[in-house]
Amino acid sequence: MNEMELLRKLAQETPLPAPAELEEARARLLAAIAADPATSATSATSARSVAEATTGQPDSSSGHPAEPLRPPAPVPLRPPAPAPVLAAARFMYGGAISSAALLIVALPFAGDVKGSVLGYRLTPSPLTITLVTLAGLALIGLWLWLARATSQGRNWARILSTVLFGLATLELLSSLEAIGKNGVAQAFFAGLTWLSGLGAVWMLWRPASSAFFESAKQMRSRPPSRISGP
Amino acid sequence: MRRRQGSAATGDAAVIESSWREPERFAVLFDRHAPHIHRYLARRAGREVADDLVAETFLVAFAKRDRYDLGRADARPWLYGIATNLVGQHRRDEVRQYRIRQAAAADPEVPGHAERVAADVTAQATRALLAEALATLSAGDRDVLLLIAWEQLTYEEVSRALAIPVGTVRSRLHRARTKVREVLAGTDAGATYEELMTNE
Repeated sequence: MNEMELLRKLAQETPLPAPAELEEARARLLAAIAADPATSATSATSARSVAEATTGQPDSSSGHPAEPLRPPAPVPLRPPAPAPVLAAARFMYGGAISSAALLIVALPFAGDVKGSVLGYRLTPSPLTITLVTLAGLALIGLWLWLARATSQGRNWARILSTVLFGLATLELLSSLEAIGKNGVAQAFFAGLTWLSGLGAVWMLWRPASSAFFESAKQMRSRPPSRISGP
Repeated sequence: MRRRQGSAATGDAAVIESSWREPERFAVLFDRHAPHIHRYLARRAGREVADDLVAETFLVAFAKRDRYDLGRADARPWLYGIATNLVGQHRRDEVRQYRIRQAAAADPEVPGHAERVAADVTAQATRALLAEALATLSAGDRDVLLLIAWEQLTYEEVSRALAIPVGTVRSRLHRARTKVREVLAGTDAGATYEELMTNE
């Protein structure tokens, strides 16, 4: 017998707690559940189904009387987003920030070259600057819009994000030379923006994310009045 | 010896997912795992503290259920990880618990037949040695050792529970086992330990 087996053997001397010893902890959990905004158990049917689910016995013999029922609460339209989806949204917000930075460092290079100040080439056409600025702002808006939509469990946003990331990758590859000519800062923020997209797409296709989008889809397809029990 | 809870464990992720829209379902997870989590906490911090910590464990888990990785079917590593973190906030209680066991085991008063008395004394001495050994371990090493020895989690499960690499789990376990062996062999009661090693 080695020390691990000795530890196991002595550990077995500690018995499992009696059900009564867990009653207080269970009551605290049930109180937290009742206080949760997403709680929708407001009918006797629902309470009974929970009691049956937690004990495997009919409510009358479960030993856990049904908890006092709360007034009807609004049924949530979607489940809470899991960590990978939240991470994807954060990546997208990061992408929006780096896109803004990229816009700022890219503006001096917009349009035809007619001169230079402090090493930056000047752009003679206000129209060109306006168009570049609008395009940059639209890109930032797109990041934010997709971050919001994916956080809400919209599967189309996940697919659109993936497609746009693919296009952005192709565009980045085709303009690598031009970006390199325009300075380190622009190359840095372009790379950072692309990495944000990569991180977001990676997180959006994690198993937990897929389960979340599927659950959100199912919940949207259900009647809004109530959610069925187990 | 407890083993995997079979089909029950495979449904943990589904229970947690359903609790996103029906929070009441989370009580299923409590009924399924609370007894073992309580026993783990009782071994580490004493029964009185365990009563409170098991409630805290499930309250924390309930609050964080939306971040649970549904790719993990078995929620035990997640729950043990939360419980272990909570024990970390009660290190003094835990070490005191080991000292109490050590002191209680050091002075056994066991009336009765001579052979039974001898056996009880041996067991008591072993408890005292183990309690002393556990008390001397660092918190991180002790977490790994006890999750594996007592709760029979795998290296990968401990890695997930404590959010550390599997390699760190292995090195901590090795260090902990070495220290325990040293304490057991390096005391006056070492003969008792050696006797146990050879008799069992």
